[in-house]
Amino acid sequence: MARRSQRKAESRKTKQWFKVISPEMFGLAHVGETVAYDPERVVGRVVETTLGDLTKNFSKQNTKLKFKIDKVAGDSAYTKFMGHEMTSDYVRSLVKRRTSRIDAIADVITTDGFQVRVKPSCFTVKRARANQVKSIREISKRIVIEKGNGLDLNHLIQDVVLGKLSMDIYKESKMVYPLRRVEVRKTEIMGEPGIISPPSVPAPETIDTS
Amino acid sequence: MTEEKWGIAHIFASFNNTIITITDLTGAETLAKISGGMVVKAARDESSPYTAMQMAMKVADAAKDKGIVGVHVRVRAPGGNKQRSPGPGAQAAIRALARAGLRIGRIEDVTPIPHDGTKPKGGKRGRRV
Repeated sequence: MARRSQRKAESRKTKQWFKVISPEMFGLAHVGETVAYDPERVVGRVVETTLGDLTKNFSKQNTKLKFKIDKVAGDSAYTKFMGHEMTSDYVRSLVKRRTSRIDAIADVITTDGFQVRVKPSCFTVKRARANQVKSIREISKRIVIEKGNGLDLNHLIQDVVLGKLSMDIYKESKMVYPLRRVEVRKTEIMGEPGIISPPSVPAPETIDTS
Repeated sequence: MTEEKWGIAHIFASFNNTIITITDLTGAETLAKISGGMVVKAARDESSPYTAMQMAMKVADAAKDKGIVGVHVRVRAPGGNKQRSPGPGAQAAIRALARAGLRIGRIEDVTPIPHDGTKPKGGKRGRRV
């Protein structure tokens, strides 16, 4: 037993701990640590945190953010934003009987070339008719695409995460049917401009200066 | 904050077994793991809350050796077309992790829920016992 634990301790020494640092749009905060034998192994790992942890704001605990490690310098691993998601128990707490939940999916291309899939959900006060559901879905799709195509990734994510986008959807959709709540349930980054290389090359310089 | 290392405790609790795996925050590196059979002899005890407690004690010790201060918990039931609610070991395991001196962060249910899947086993008229 003792021999085994000793060997384990030795093998652990060769492993290194890396600090995971959030992307610039989330303030280069320290997110957590990860272990690996060498820096190359760290690239591609995904860390999940909540917005509440990053901003110290407890009302935002329901938003999960995914960061993917794309660059390692020394013992710090820099990440890029991969998407966000509402926690499933929060979304489920919004769903009620005799009301409608209206999901929409819209693909947006931001001004800096990121392809983002945005998934808003509307929750009505009472059950809506099929044509109302349909038109609310159309409206939310339209708004997401209109807003998203005019913004860069940074601003789009800000709007999504801070609830501005869902506010806009709420304002227009409530003409059709009274809404209880609008949330952007999920975003996913589907494609990047020029496959990784353009955004990741200027990133280290800005990190060094800040 | 910078010196305190956190991990993730993945707890898989079915009615036949409980498996606890403590990983780093990315989930890519396993720091400690344990299952019911490593603690008890009888197969029927593998899922019991008492076993889960003993297991949690053991993994917590192993994780603390590696410098983990607290864990975020991800509870999981078999899911899919099987049952959605975690087995008897889940509750006990989380409590025992806390008792063993690990700080508990977020607790999340990560049971895989099908958006629409295959037919559950048991046939049209269900399991007839």
